[in-house]
Order: sequence, then structure tokens, then C-alpha cells
Amino acid sequence: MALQNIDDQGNIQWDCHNPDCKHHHCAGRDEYMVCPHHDEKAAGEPHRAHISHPEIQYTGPGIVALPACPDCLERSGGTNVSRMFLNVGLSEKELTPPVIERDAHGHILSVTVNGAPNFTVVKDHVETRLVELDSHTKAPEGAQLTTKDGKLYQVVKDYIIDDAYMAPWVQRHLDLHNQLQAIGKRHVPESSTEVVSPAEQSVALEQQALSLEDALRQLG
Amino acid sequence: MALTLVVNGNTVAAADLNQIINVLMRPAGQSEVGNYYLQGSSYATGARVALYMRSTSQGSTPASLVIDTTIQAASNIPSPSQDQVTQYGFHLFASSTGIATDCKAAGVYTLAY
Repeated sequence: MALQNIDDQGNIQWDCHNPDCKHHHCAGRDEYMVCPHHDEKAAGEPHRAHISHPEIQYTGPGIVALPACPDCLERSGGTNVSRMFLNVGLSEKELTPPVIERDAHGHILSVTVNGAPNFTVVKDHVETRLVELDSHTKAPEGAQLTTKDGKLYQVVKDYIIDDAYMAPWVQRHLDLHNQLQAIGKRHVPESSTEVVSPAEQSVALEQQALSLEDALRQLG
Repeated sequence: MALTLVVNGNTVAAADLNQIINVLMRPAGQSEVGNYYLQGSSYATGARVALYMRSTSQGSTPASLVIDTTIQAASNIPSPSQDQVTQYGFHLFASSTGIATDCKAAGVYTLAY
């Protein structure tokens, strides 16, 4: 889960993590992203907002809160506040690109990750091939062997890297950070800010009123 | 994600080891899901209760963190915010809405990598 989309006008799209929510839209996530809830990607109605939305704000250095999911709040009778926080403060070290070694045909031989390990998407698969062993060759210790048509083979598994690229959400989060700065939204240094939705504010006021009632009752 | 157990007598393959490594250091596209329980008492309105959660995954930097309050609705605090999510974990906090002996909220966290 990450920001699914951001355009030049500051319109963003994301989805709810709750698989029972109508805003659960894991079909809109990057294709390599695994949904922890199910194998088939579900197409719900994603959240959309403009970055000027009052609940979109920095709650820490490099952390941006998005508006709470209204459907989760409503279905729970106001008790479940589900909110996504985006990591937009990515360090230079984390952003260091990988070193990709290719052969003369452009096939990837190796990928050396230098930044955050998960910022590089590596697509790979394993290919199995059989290498015939003649009577003079001793099979390596621990090798998996098989016979076919009376001949002895060593089963060799090759690790093939199909593609390697920077995770697309990284650029989207950097874009969001830049666009928020451009409209004057910034993290206040040496302070952590809370984000409270209007629905939560009314619940808090109700709780305060109940506390006051209790106190008055005890005073007689 | 369910782990495939290695059976005695079989060759341990790279994939068997990688499924463990991929939990301890999440690769691109995976998530870590767990529970948190934030609780404390407040001596004044605005007093802060906080909790640092160490993630199981270490070394991979999360793209996002989702917090809900499905286990315990926020009481005497708003739903928790967080100001720091790193390769090691995240910091949850909330400011009390009044003087209270029991400020709490609990739910599910989802770290996406």
C-alpha cells in the first residue's frame, strides 16, 4: 500500500487496507504489490482527494497523514478510525540506485542493492535444467540427481533475473512531498502534530461532556 | 503469509530460506500486519501518551503505515497519529482530551514495503 496516483494538479488516490471496506482497491496498487488479505486483487472505490484537504498534513518529519476512511468509521458506529500515513521523507542513502550488471545481450546477470532493499523491485524466476553426468564425473556433494532413459543427470536450478527497477511509489511520494511544500504545508520542526477528523472531534467533545456530568454528579 | 515447512530428508532450497529472510527484511511489495495497544493516563488535557512499535522487518523502509482502532476505540484520546516510520519501527502518540486515568486505543497496524 502506498499512494496509488498523484497528478500535476495535486489530486491523489489511495485505498483502504480493510478488505471488507468498499474503498479497498488493491487492484489499483502497483502490480508487484501483494495484498495481505487475498490473492485476487479487488477493485473497490479508491479514495480521492486534493492535497489541500485539511486532514492531509505532516504529523512528523517526512510523514504525511491522509484523511481517515469514512466508510470504516461509519460501519463501526464511529469507533474504528482507519488512517494511512505515508513515508515521504526518504533519505539519500535509501534512494541510492542499485547496480545492475548485464551481459552483452542485455540480460541481467546481477543486481546489487545499495539503498533500501525494498526500493528496488526485482522480478525473477527459477529455471530447472538437467546436466548429464558421464561415468567419469563425480556428482558434486549434495547435488540433486535424477535418471532419465538410463542416464544420470544433475538437476541444476538457475536463478534468472527478468527485470529490476525502482519501486514506482518512491517517485509518487517524493512528488507529494514537493507539491505539499509548494502549497505551504510543512512539518513544524521539533514538534509532532496530530491529525483529528471532525467526527473524532465531536466524539471527544461528547466524552468531555460525559466526564463533566460524572464530576458534577459526584459533587452532588 | 503462511510459511512452507521444510521436511526432514529433503534438500533445503534457496526458496525455503528466502521465505524466512523475506519476513525479517520485507522485499518490495510485501506487508507486515500486527496489533498495537496504546494506553496511559493523563494528568492534564493535552498530555501525551505514546508507544514505540518495533517492526519484525528490519532494514527495509516502509512506504506507508495504516493504523486502525478495531480492537479498542479511542477513549480520552483521538485515534493515534504517528510521526516516525523507519526501517526499524514506528512511533505512535496521542494527546489526551482531558484529565483521565485511562487513555487508550488499539487496533491493527499494516506496514507496506
